[in-house]
Amino acid sequence: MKLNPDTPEGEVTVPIPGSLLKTGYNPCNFWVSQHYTDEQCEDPFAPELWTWLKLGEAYLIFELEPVPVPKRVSAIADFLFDPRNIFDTRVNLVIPEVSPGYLKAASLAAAGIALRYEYRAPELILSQALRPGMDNIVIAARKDLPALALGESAGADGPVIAVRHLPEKKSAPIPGQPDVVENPHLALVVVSAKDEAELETACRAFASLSYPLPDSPSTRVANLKLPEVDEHMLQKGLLPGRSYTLASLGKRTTEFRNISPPPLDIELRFPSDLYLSPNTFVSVILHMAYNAAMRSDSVLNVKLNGKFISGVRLDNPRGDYFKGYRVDIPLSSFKQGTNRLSFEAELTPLHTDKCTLIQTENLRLTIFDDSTVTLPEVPYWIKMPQLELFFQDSFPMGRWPDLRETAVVLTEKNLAAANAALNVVALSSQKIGLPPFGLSWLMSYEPEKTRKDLLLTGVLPSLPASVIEKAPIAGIDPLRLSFPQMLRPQFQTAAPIDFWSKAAAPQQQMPRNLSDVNTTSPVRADLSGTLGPGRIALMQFQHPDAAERTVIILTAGIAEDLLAGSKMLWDPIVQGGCRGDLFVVNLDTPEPETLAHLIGPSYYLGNPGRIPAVQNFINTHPVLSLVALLVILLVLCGLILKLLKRRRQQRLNPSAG
Amino acid sequence: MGRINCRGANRPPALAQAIARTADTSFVEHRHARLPVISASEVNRLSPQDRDSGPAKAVAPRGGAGALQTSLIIGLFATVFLLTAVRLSTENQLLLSIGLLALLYLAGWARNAHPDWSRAAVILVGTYVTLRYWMFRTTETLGYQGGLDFTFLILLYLAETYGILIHVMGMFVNISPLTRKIPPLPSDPDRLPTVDVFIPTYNEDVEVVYVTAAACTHLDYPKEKLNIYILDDGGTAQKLNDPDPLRAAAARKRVDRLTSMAARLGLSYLARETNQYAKAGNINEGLLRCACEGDEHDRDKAACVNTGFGRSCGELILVLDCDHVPTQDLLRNTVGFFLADEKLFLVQTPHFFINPTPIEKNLDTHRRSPNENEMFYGAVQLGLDFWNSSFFCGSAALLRRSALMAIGGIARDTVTEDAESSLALHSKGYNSVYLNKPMSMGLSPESFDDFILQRSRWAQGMTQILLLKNPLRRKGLKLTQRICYFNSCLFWLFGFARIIFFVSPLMFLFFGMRVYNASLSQILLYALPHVMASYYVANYLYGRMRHPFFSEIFETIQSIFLAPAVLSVFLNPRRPTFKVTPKTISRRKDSLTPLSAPFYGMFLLAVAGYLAGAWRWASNPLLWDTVLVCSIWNTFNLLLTLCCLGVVWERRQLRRSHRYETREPISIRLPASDICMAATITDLSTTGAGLTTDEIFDIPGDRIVLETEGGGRRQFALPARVTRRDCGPAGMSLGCVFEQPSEISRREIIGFVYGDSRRLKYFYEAKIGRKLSSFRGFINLLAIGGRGSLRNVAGIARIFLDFATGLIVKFYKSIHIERRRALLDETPQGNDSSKHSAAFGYRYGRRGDHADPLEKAGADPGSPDAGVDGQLQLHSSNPRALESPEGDAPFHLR
Repeated sequence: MKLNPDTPEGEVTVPIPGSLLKTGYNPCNFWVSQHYTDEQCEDPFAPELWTWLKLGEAYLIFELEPVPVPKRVSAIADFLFDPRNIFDTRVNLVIPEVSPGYLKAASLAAAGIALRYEYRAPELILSQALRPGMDNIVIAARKDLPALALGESAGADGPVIAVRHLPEKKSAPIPGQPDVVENPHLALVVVSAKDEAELETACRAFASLSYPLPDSPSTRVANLKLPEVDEHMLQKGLLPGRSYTLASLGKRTTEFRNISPPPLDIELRFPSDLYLSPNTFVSVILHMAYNAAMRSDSVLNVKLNGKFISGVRLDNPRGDYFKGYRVDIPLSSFKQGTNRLSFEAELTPLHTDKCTLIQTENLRLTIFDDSTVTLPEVPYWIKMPQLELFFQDSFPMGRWPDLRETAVVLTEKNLAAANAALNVVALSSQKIGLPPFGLSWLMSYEPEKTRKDLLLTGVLPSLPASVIEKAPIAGIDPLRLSFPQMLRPQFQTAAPIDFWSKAAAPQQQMPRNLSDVNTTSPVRADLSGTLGPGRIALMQFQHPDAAERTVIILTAGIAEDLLAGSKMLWDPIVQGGCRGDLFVVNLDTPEPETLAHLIGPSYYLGNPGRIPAVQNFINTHPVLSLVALLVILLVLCGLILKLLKRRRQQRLNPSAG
Repeated sequence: MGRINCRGANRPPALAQAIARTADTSFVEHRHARLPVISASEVNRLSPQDRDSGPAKAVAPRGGAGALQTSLIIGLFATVFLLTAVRLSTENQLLLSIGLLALLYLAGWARNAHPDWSRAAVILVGTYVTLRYWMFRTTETLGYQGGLDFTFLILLYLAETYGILIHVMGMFVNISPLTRKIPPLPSDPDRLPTVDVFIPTYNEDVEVVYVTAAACTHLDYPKEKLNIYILDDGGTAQKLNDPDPLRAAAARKRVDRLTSMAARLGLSYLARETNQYAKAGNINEGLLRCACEGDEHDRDKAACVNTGFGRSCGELILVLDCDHVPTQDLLRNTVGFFLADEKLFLVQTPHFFINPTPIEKNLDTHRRSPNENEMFYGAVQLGLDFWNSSFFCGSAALLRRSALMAIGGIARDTVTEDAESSLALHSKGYNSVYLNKPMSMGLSPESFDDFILQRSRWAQGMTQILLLKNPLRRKGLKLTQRICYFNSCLFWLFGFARIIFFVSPLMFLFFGMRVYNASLSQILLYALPHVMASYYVANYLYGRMRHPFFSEIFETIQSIFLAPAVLSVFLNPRRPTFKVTPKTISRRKDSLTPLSAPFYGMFLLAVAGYLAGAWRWASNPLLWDTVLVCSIWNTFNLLLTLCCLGVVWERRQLRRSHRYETREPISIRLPASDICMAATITDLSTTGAGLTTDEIFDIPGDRIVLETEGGGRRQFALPARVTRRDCGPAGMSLGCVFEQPSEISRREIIGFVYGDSRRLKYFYEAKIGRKLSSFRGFINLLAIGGRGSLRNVAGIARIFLDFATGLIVKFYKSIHIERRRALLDETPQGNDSSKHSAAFGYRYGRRGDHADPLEKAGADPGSPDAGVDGQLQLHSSNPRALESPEGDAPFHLR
């Protein structure tokens, strides 16, 4: 398409032959060729040379027809739960009863779906009957299998996974013909076994992404061996004290070409509780080479999360090779979770005069994939509560990626609460990257059995009193809050004019939450009904019976809201607004509205030294600890004075001593 | 003040009160008063109500309760130590730091109300803050970042650890300084022990020895119990038979003069065969000589020791350096301790120096800030005494002969024989006492070179003790004594630490080495509280004895020279030899010491550090906080370097008589009448005194007699001649010189000037300045550094100016000479010398300008006839009085 500088705005329709498309992802690239002449000379750096594609307003029109679900178990991995599927996916998980065993099996299956969906949000429904119009997964012991789900698995021995088309009852049955027909576009996955133990094995196989599901309609699961997991083993996560090559981080040797080539972005994912010590450094060791005949102001910029941190001069016109060029980045410049380390090359030709042939093909820089990123040896230690970390890597539940140190507690035995919990578990597994093989489910809160990280789901009245006492929910109804009459940037009384004043001035920014606001004219109010209809609350606080554990509560006023709210948690907008220890989502608005607060006391998790329990206690109760220290010092002082007095008497009276 | 009757009371009541205020009233000393008959056990029962006035009642063994208490203390200490290792979040560490600093200041504030609690609390809290910092350094800042970085990182860590160890041990040593009071003596002189006074000398001027020996004859002690020995190592057979005839002649001359002087004063003169083992050998020879009379070539030393005590050897030995002039009451104030404790081997008294050290003189801090010794003698020794670890300092100390003999005399393995001997005796279970009452007046080195020489010997000697006699492993010492000696020895490694502290910020600024791996927030949260607490505690413990930042100045100045000296000991512990410190050098004009070069290098490096820092700031925005911290650190180093530059610019000093300030009543009698006038002595020296009177009166013939009472209630009547008289509305100010017609009168003057320890105490306490806060101390440091460096710069500029002027003059003269030669070539031949002088005149600089004014006056400073203006003729207390446009102005009284 020709770009007309006189009519710089326009709309273009591009027909794409279907034969050029392939299954899976199809990259769509736009290339633009622009030039500017001045006095008959080409000026490649003219500021007028720009083209802006409004991709936000662009759209694709498809004409497609779904293909039938393949009747093979391998379709679970490559067809049914494919993140490239453009349709919304609703999956009905069918269990015969709400029991810990079935719930665990269902959570494994749900996690398997969520994991296969990678970053996308499936709609998971937990029920006790097949539902039409969506894929169904029946998880049941053989004796509990509904009749429709029986089939070839009925007489099988051991844990079985089978894939069939979903049988649906005809709306207008024809006499003489079966009233149930199979819908070839929807799947019925049956996971069954003779008992709950075998059923869990089958679900584990279903959830394991690497399990070799065969191309047959059903498979019997045998000799399933799960991988060993360690604490803090996240998907794509890096561990402190280790070195990683770029190759191991998924980046091949990269060549930068031309004047401003696309940057090389590397994703570094740190565990949420990694202690970002201010005096430790992440070392990036670069092996790279650049071409000759580049101007000496060529440079490789290193950016972290979009901010410049260092630069490498490429100033040898004869070209050069760096082996082990070291860039140290303070660990405190990183954040917990995902960081983006970018290498941006700005390569300048040796000659840039007008009316001169500008050679750009020699502008080349290569970063080799044996370059390394080394993390310092730092402990895992973090101040809590921080609900936002739950949506980052499911912290603190996800410290053990198989959730072996986590228990889900249903405070009421109903499908809505279980479904809500199932959503949270599936979401958690997607964040971690591993199914919840070690997760346990409990139907009530029992202090002696629940010294784990807990996820409590249930409506507000059903929550146990001993837990509620410690929860920030105590401040919900009525909720005492300070908030401004309107959000506005805070102004300075005196503008800092010199460096020192600027350095000393606190970083000011627009408040993002009501609790961030500390303007001088807030409104203080006791709000009641905060957790009324149409709202859910997510809370995080220290376990009342185990200092090293955390409790997360998902609750609402009524069961329907609880379920709807759990589905809302998949929304990235909701996740982005979550922080503090109390997070309230309004379900009644078209776009989700959120409120985040930090109400409860802080506490510390992790192992910063040899005596973590003492250290975390001291950090959690600093004033009390300081007073205790002062008392110890004073007692010590008194005892020492007694000793000194005795000693003094001995020195002044040597014959008596 | 007014006219009084000479036959009445010599001291008006008001003046007596004034004296009483300045005198030590805590003990009774009256030569003619009847002393109570008192035994050692009775001594112990004196003044039980007063903690420090004497021994308290005997303490019953604590048994199980004591053990429980000790266990509790150990347990709590362990708990506190563990708590220092707790990792805290930023806000909690901030809370802890603020809380502890507040407690520290609160404890210090309670000093007057609850001194014991205050001191212990300040030390404990200060220790906690410091240990917390050290734990942070140890657990969170050490990491391998590359070979060189790691090397310097570890070096800095070790230097800091050393500093913290010294700081903590210092606090331990000084947790309860012992202030002693003087025990009374038995009234029966027969019960007093015999005392030998040893005055070891080597190459010091005879007049120095004369003043000390003469003062010893005034010692208030039964003469039959006192023997004074001059132990002359300058008159050994080895010296007399020196292959160099000039040296041999000088030694013979010295021997003649000393023997003659000893005969006149009624003392014993002893010289040995060789100079083996220097001062230690000299004293040991004195010990044996006394024990064994007869043929010195046929002596069985062991037999001598065994039989010596049956003869007339003194039971106690008073060791005095030949430049340490004792007061009359030195023995009466110290002997009583030996009667109270049979296991006592030492009573050490402070070394009091009347002249400024080179550092004081060159930085112009004399009388403005306490000198370097005062912290040791005014605080540290008191703390050591509490732990029974105060040690012999080579002079002004009384020792028990039998104890010395038990270890074979003064130890000889190191060049600090005094401390080594003390260590040996403490190891054998003997006790020591430190009496913080100055009772001798000495001289400190005059030049920076001599000062460094002296300190190098101390540093080497203490390091030798550390290596050869390791106090930590030595048998017989208690744990507390081990800590005290270890602290005393380890202290002298400060040179290494100081160098590392200077170099470390430059390592980052120049080379980007991360030698201190901490962020700005961590520095503010951990290092800053530690620094604040350390300075506060140091100021609390030693503030009156040492102003803030003076330790840094003293250590920085010495570090460059002491570090190699100490290193040589580590390489070969037995190599150092005893070098006598010269103390008799006069400096006629300001000049640059030859040891100045390193400080100019340090100055240039520190300045270049800023340039490097600016570049690093611009080139590496991620490290701006480190650049900031290193630049501040570098600024502190630069300030210290400026002070060093002030020290190495040596100010001139001419000495005829060191004069010290005092304030005491005296009567002026006019010889022509029987009228006495009350007056006040304002300054005093062996040559004269400064006086003030309330009334103005005539002085016929400018002759007066100063009548007063000296130490031990001795009456003095000293004729003097008034050389200056200034009248004003407040009265008269007189300057007078003593008339010294005979040796007896000179001895009287010495007895008066040096005899009264109360005057020293006044002087001593007047010198100790008031405490300065750390902030004011820093301002003080700025001022000192600024003044010192300005003097240095001005001096250097003058040198260049002189050089340039000299070149011009030389050029002019060369032209002049050429003309002269041309003229001479044209004239008939004359006398060579006249021709020479006509052509060249005198050498550039004019000889007359450099002549010693004493020599010009025709006086022989070494001759007794020249008065007592030898080495101990102390210089003016006001250096400015010596300065005049003419340059070499002689000393004059105000």
